Parts: sequence; structure tokens; C-alpha cells
Amino acid sequence: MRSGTQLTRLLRLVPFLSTRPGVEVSSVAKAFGVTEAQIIRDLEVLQFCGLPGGYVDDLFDVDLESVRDEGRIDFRNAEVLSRPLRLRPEEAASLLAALRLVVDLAGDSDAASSAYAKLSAAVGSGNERLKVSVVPSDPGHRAALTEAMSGSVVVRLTYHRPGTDGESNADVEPVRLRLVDGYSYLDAWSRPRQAWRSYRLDRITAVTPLEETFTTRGDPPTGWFDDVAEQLTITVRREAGWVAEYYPTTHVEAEGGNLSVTFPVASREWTVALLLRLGDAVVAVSDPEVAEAARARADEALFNYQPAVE
Amino acid sequence: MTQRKSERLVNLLIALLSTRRFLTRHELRRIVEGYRDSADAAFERQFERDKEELRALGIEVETGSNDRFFEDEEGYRINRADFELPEIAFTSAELSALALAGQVWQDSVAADHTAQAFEALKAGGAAPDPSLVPTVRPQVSVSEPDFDVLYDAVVRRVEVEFGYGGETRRLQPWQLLQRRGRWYVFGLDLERQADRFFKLTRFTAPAKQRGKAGAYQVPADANMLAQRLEPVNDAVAVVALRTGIAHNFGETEPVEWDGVVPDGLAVYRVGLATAAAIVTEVAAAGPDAILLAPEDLRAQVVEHLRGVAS
Repeated sequence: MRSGTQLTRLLRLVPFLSTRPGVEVSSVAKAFGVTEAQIIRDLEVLQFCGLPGGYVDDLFDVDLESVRDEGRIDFRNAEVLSRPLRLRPEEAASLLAALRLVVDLAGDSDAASSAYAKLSAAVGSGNERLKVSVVPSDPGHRAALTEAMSGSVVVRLTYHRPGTDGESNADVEPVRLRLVDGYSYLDAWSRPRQAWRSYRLDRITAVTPLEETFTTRGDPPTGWFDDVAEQLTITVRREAGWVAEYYPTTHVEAEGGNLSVTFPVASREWTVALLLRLGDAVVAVSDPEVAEAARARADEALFNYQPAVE
Repeated sequence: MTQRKSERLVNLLIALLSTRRFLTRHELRRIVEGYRDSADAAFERQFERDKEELRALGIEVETGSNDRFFEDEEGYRINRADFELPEIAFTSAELSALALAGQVWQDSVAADHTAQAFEALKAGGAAPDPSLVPTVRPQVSVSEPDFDVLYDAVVRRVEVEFGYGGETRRLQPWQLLQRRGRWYVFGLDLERQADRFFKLTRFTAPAKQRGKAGAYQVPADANMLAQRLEPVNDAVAVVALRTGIAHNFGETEPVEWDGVVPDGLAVYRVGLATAAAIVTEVAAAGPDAILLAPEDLRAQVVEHLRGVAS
């Protein structure tokens, strides 16, 4: 804990208490994320603080005995600290960066961006010290999805599926936008699949609200690959070790000069594309069918590079 | 921090805040409870340290003299406008957005700082409202152990030292950025006298702070310089892509092509950061992509595919 923690809290506690006469110790402790005993210790400090002069009238007025007896705080004579200490630079940076993300995810037109504007005007945004970049997605799609979510409206999604030809359609019940590792996802109940699915927003090409509304099915799963049971283990040479850093993994193990990496499998197409991507850096694949599919696809691709017959 | 020291600091702060004239050391020693009983030398040391404690919270202690015409003894005061959090009127929708921002940071020092920022907002009368069930959920995780040290260094402008590629690097850190789930620190590399990015997962020895806070200025255009972490398309190729397929090329520009391409494929100019990235993406797409030009990259794709083919 940094040495300034108690001091920072004290300078916010005073205006907090003086605007809430009779507030319960327990709710103060909750608001400041500390124990009730710590709040009492803070009051023990504050009872000897106040305007310089040293007269009784100059000091903050708080009766600790009655606080201990009744569990409520009456804090008076604190006009000199009527406003809290402003946000410290590290507090402003983390809150503004977080709010920026809410803006990026929810779209520009809503309350998040006006809250951001007010807050940065009040605390001085200066240089952004913390930044999380988000892969851009269509603000129109986000707005349409947000509206559909709040009205429980079924939407028809048109989207690219990695490793497949053309576009797919699905009627879904949209419930949540999520940001994971810089990508935005829509969590929705897929009607054709009868299961929860996540759709990457930058792969969605159209959002069409339908006439129909839906009743909520409870919370979608929180995990990232919850609906994926299948796993694939591949052994790669050291130089391809980046895959373990780049994709979600469930297990990574060094094997001599190689690395054995286990992935949750998003789709067969994804796995085949991964093997094609890795090329000859792959030493072994746990599923021979997947390895065979990758070989077949490579053969097919190489056919395109044969010299044209004159 | 001891209770006694907290008490002295609050009293010093109030004394400096409630005065319009500059208070001399002599006056402060007389009026601030806690300095009165100290010997001369002890008081001087205490006072210097106390001023530093206040500055560490972002509270600027002004120095000056009351009399412009006579060489007066130097005095101290705190400008109330620099200390206080201004009134901010948030709408209820904005308070919900703030509450959402409060859930962004997972398990890092940034989460603690955001919680403390909320304490200030609550003390100032604005309570972030978590009652609305959010339909967006942005979350940022930090798994890199060096994040906390670097965050503190960025905010306080302290130089850092860390191991990278087995070498010791010295950096004036300007910004922390997350891209695709990975954290980077951006700043002035003191050895190379140029701005550089470092990926936190690649650190080979932990980051340590070196020297004092406020040791350097962050250039005004740091934000703009940081844009370069966004992909720069240094490599360009002409590629035939199956129409409508999902790919990772980003922007594609349709171009005329004299040669023959299989049915269902169209020809584009694509750009990525490196030639190797283009080769990998084309290989990953299997028969759905053909690299047409330049010739050397075409040869690399063929070689790459042969590594997978039977």
C-alpha cells in the first residue's frame, strides 16, 4: 500500500461525511472499500484536525464515543474541506481509459461519451497515459444492436465466417456486447443452432431488425469458449512459439526443442487455417483428420500455382 | 503512515488551503499542530518530506513572497482550485456509463485506482449507478507482471530499466498501450535516443524505477507518435481472393489483372506490415487465395504450402 492512501481517503472522507449527517459506519466503509475499524481509525485522526489556531471551535466536530455506540457518524464544522481532493493523475488515467473503452464499444452517440467529455473537462485529460486500442467495427451496426438489445428484438445477422466461402445468415437474440483483447463481440442466442454464440463485430456485414421480439433466456455463459468441447494439441518448433501467445490456449508445454500447445477449437476451418499458417513449423498434430484436411487444402492450393498449360 | 503523521499532513494542508497570503516556515511551525514540539532541524526535514507527500498526491504547493518590493522570506500556500474536484453534474445515464467503466479493469493496479477515483466522485456527490443491467461489457485484463511498476512510472514520470532480449534497456516511459490483448510501453529509449515500443511479455528482466519523479517531459505529440503501433502497411502484393471470404488483409483494393484467375476469385491489391505476414495469410486461406505478384512472394507461398502438402 502506498503511503498516501490514508491521506487521500481522509481528504475525501471529510466532504463525504459532512454532506451525509448520520451516515452509517458500515455504508461509509463500503463506499471506501475498507473495514469499519479503518473508518474509526480515520475518524480518530480527523478529530484532531481543523483550522489552525488550536481552539476547540477550529477543529472538526465528531463524537467518536457516539459513533462507536450507535454506528452512525455526525461530522460537522468541516466547511474548510467542503469539496473532495481532485482525482490523482493515476486515478484519472485509469478511469478515463476505462470510460474511453465504454465509448468505443457502445458507440459515440450515447451517455458514455458525454460522461467522458464532462469528466475529462473536470480532471484534465492531458496526454492519455493508458490506451487500449479496439479493432474498429461499424458504428451503425453497434447502434442497431444496442437498440435491438434494449427492446429484445430479434435480428438477422449477415457475417463472414472464417475459412468459409461467402456470407452466412442467422436470426439471433442479441443480449450483450463484449470486448475481449481488443475485439468487440456480440453474445447472442442463435436460433438456427439453438445455442449461445459469440460473433466478432468486425466480421458482421449487416444487422437487420426483425418484427419479432424475444423473451430473455437468462445470462449467456461468461467464459470465452464455453460452448467448445473439442481441443487440439499441436507440436511446433520453437520459432513458431508465438502461436501460444497469440491464440487462447488451454495448455502449453516445452518438449525438448519444441513446444506442445493445446487450443480450444473454435471450428474445423479455423484449425485447418492455423496449420496452413504454420507451414513446416508443425511437428505433430493430435487429430490426424485435421492434419489430413490441411494437407488436402495445401495440395489444392498448390494446384493454383502450376504453370499454365500453353 | 502513522496516525500522527496523517494528522499533521491534514492540518498542514488545511493551513495552506485556508490562507490567501503565503505562510512562512516560521508561521507554519507555530500554527500546525505536530510541528510545534519538533526541534529546528527535525522540523526542516519533516516539512520538506510533508511537501513531497502532498505533491505525490498531485497537490501543488505554491511558493512565493507576500511583498513584491522587499526581499521577504519565502512562503507557501495551496490554490483551492488546484486542490478541489470541481462540481460535475452527471445525468443518470452517464452515471450508469461510469459504473460500467468501473468494471473494465480486471485484477490490476488500474482497478484499484479506478475504485479510488470513484471515492472522489462519491464524496463530490456523484454516485456511479450500477443498477442498470449492462448490455455492453468491456473488460481489460492485465497478466503482465511489470504493468504495475510501469503504470506508476508513466504517471509519475520516472525513468525505468528492464531486460529486453537479454539486454538492459533504459526508458523514459510515456504511455502504456494495449493492442490485441497485449500491453506495450512506449517512450524514449535512452540508449538509442529514439522513441520505441516494448512488448511487456517479452521482458527478460523485471522493470525497476530509477531516480526521481517528474524527471522528464512527455512530448505533446506522444499520442500521435504512438499511432505507429497501429499496423503500417510496408508490404504490398496482388492477390486473388475468393469473393466474400473472411480474411485478415484489412483494406483491399480491386485491381485489373491481365492473367487468368479461377472462377469465383477476384483480384485485389492488399497491404500488410511485412511480406512474411502476406505470405502467411495467403497460405492460411488455402485454395481461396492466390498470390499473383510479386514473383518472389509467390515463390515463398509455394514453398510455405509445400511444408504442409503431402
